[in-house]
This record gives sequence, structure tokens and C-alpha cells, in this order.
Amino acid sequence: MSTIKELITEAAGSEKNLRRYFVISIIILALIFISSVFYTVEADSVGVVWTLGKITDETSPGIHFKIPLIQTVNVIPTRQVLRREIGYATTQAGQQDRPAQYRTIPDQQRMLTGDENIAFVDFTVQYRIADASAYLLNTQNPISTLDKAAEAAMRLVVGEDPIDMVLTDGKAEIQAAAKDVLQQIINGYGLGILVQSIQLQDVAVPHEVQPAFKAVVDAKEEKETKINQALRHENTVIPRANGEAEQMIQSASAYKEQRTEGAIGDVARFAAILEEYTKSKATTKTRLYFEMIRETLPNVHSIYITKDGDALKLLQIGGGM
Amino acid sequence: MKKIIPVLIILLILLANATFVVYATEQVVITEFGKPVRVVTEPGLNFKMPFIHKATVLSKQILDYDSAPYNIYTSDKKTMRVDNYAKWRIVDPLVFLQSLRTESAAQARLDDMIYSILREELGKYTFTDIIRKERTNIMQTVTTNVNKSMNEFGVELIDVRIKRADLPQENEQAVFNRMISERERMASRYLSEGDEESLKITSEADKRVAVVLARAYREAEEIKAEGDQEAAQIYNMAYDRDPDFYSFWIALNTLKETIGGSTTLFIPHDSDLARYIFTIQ
Repeated sequence: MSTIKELITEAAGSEKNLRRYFVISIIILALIFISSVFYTVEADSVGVVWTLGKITDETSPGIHFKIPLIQTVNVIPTRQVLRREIGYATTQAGQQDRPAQYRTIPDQQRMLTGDENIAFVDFTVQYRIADASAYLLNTQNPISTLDKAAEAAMRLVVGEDPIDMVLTDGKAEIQAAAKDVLQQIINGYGLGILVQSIQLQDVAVPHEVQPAFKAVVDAKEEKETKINQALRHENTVIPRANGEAEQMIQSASAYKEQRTEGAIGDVARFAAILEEYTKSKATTKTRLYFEMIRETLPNVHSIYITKDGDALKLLQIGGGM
Repeated sequence: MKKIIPVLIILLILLANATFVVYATEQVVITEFGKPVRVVTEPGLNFKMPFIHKATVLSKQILDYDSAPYNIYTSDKKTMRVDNYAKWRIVDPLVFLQSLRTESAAQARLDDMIYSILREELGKYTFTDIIRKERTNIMQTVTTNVNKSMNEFGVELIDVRIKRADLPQENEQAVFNRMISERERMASRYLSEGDEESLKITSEADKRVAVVLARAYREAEEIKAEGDQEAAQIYNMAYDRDPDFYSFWIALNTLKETIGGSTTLFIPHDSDLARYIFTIQ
């Protein structure tokens, strides 16, 4: 015993050094001890406490004690929404000045649709660890299980739908259905995970067929353009024809007005004169006759008085007498 | 004094070997020289006879089985590339230890069984049916059937899932060709529909225009005729009151309007008009 102490003292340099090293090691051990006694649970997590192999407690956010060696703690983020990427992987997270970088995982993307077309589907699974104990206990490798089940679920759903639905207007439906199927599968495993949502990212067709697919989109657009052109034509000529029709009718009505009003006017004059005539026939007749003579005679070119076949020119170029 | 230390050390070693912790994810079988003595499924600190008893740890968790993808034939003689996974667990650790013994042996057994049963099941349906509707059905049947066999090993199969069902790469080109010609048909259909509908709209519109204009023309002519008719009626009604006077009056008016600067008048010398002229001369 004493020889050992002598050896250590010699190694340390002096008895004072030995004491110093002894104190320092005690402090270090104490710090190690303290760090194994205290643990922090973040605000979005719970602490699952294992005592001798058994889960004994779930602690809330804050600082807690645990018995070293006998107790261990898993801090599980139960309030954080986590995500898995299927079909692709983010290689570099997006920053302010540049977008995120990805690489595709073709084997995960490739799927058969209900009408036996091939589609490439990328999607994310947003989930929460709802039951921390179940998550830790029930299944080995819960996250890789989630990934596999997600692939199985999405392929099942996509396999029921035709490709046009997957590419265009069926996305919301597919997302909802896949989420339900996935949740059902993982419930069967007691995964303790709640699927918040599944979101389709890129959905594409193999590049060998992309031109043909684009040609359909273009053809659809062209159909719309042609129909719109025809409708524009319709919207031009029909109002115009209606306008012309209106016009025709209006001018006919105007003509009718004119004729009837004119007739009434003419007739009124006649009626007035007829009244006079009725009162004194001979006088009126004579008067009217000579009125006419007065008006017309001065303007005639020439007047001939005829007697028994001879004509005597009385007036020459129209002028007064 | 010195003799106590080795004894203490031996006691410590014995104690260490006599205690074991069973985690909540584990189940332990205690054997005595290969013969099973008891099974511990409750987690916590446990004790056994040091060295005489051996504690074999088995997992209590749901374990993963994942095969490499392989080709199968569907009932309509098409090739499908299938990638499936399965979830299983040890339900009877004692039986398991006596039969399969290790997880890897279980994996191998599952591999054989799932492969043959899944292959058989898939071979009963057509390619399209498998992709579109029979997937769940098939997976359930395979799970049930494999489970029956795995039961004797103390293993429960939770489920078998088809993770991926694709065409083998060699067959993809044929599918691409089919997809392309299908799209070409769709494109030309859209184009001809476009032509057809636009033509229909245009000719309908033009027809309507012709009808509207023809009708308007007819109506206009009718209105004008009405105007003429009403005017004639008004005239007739008025002039019929005294047709003789009317002839006189209209003759005068006509003369007023027609006699002008180029007219030559021939007046008989014994007419009133001649007398009038001479009178005013």
C-alpha cells in the first residue's frame, strides 16, 4: 500500500501536486455525476424515464432529476411536426439567397397508376410523435417503418387512379386517401405516430413520354382557342345582325309614320278646301282655278292661242306679260 | 484481511451474473444447461442462478422483414416486379427458442414462406387487378396464410405489405410506347373536337344572323306596306267624300307642279282662259 502511494507521489512530482490532481479529479467526477443526475426536457418534448428497463415516468418540459446508472431518459419531441421525404432527399437546406437542393430517388418515385401508366411521385409525410412510450416500445426502427408504410400506402392509392387524375386534379384526394391508409397501417403497429398530412411534391411522367403528354396539353389549349375564336365571332355577328334588324324596322316605322302623317297633312288641306267648296262651290272652283293660273302662267316658256288649227304665239320665253 | 478481498471479488462476480435487467422491449428465457426454466416478460430487475442459468434475450418488439425485389407472373402472363416488407414479432419466446432460435433464422423462414405464398396469390389475379383493386385483399390473404404456418414457431405475422409493384425495367419501353400512342390519340381527339365545335358555333351563328336579317326585312316591308295602306285609306276616305271635286283639285295641283319654265301652252281661243288672258292684256 505505502509503496503504491510512494509511486504515485513520485509520478505527480510532489505531495502537494498529488493533492492538487486529487482535487481536480474529484471536481471532474463531481461534474460528471451532476450531468448524469440532471437532464433538460425542451419545450416541445417529453422525457421518457426508464428505471431498470421499465418506463416509469413521462416528464414535462424543464429540468429534472434522475438517478444515475439506474435511470435513463429519452427526450422525445412530441409537439414538433417532423417530416419524411419520399422519392427525393434534400441535400442542402434552402437559404435566404438560394433555394434548397434535392436529389431524386427513382426507385421510391416510380409508381404504376390505375390505367397502367408509369408516374414519378415525390411526396412528404408530416407527422408527430403522439405517444412517446408507444413510439419507443412497440416497433423496432419506427422511422424506417413509417417510410416503408408510406410507400406502400401511396402506391396503393395511386394504383387506384388514372394518370390524369394523379397529374392534375386528383392531388387533394390522393393526399387525403394516402394519409388515411398510412395512419391505418401504422396504427396496426402501435407506432405512436400521428400522421398530420401527406403532401405531393413533384408528380411527373417519365421523360420518354413527356413530349407526348405535353402535346395533349397543347392540343387541349388549341381546342379552347378555336372555340373561343368561334364564340368571339358569334358575339360579333349576332349583335351586329340584331342591330341591323332593329335599324331596318326603325326606318320602316319611320317611313310608315311619314306616309300616314303626310297623308293626314295632305288630307287636312283637302278637307279644309272641301269645306269651303261645300259652302260655295262655283266660287271656290273659280278661285282655285285662277290661283293656279296666276302661279303657273307667268313661268311658262311660251303660250300659243289656237284657233281652228292655227296657233298664234302670244308669249315667248317665260316671263311676265 | 487479505483473504477477504478475493472472496469479495468472487461474490461480486457471482452477484453480477445473478442479476439482469429486462427492458420493456425485451423478453428473456432462462435456461438451465439448454433446458428452459422460465420466461420473463415483465420489465425490471430480475435474478437468476449465476452461471447455472443462462438468460437469452429476445425482442418483444415488432420486427421488420424486408425482401429484395423479385419478379412474379400474373394470371395474364405479365411480369411484375414486387418489393414487399413484413412486420412480425415473437409471441411465444419459449417455442421460438426451441424451434427457430435466432431472429435471422426466423427471417430466413419468413423469406421462404412469404415469397412462395405471395407469389402463388399474385399469380391468381391479372396485372391490372393487382395494381388497381386486389392489393389489400391479396396482402390480407397472404398474412393469414403465412401466420398459420408461423404459429408453430411462436411467431406472429402482423402484416405483409406490397411496398412497390412495378414493371421490370426491360418491359418499360413497351409501356412507354403504349402511353405515347394513347396520348397521341387524345391529342388528335382534342384537335378534331376543337374544329368540330368551333365550326358548329360559327355556322350556327351565321345561320341565326341570316334568319334575324330575313325576318327583320320581312317585318320592315310589312310595316312599310301598312304605312302605304294606311296612307291610301286616309286619302281615299277623304277624297271619296267628293270624288268630282277631288279630280278638279288634284288636276289643279298637278298642273301647278308640272307647268314650268320649259312648258309650252296651247290654249283654244274660245276658252275661258283665253278670254281671261285677253282681259288682262
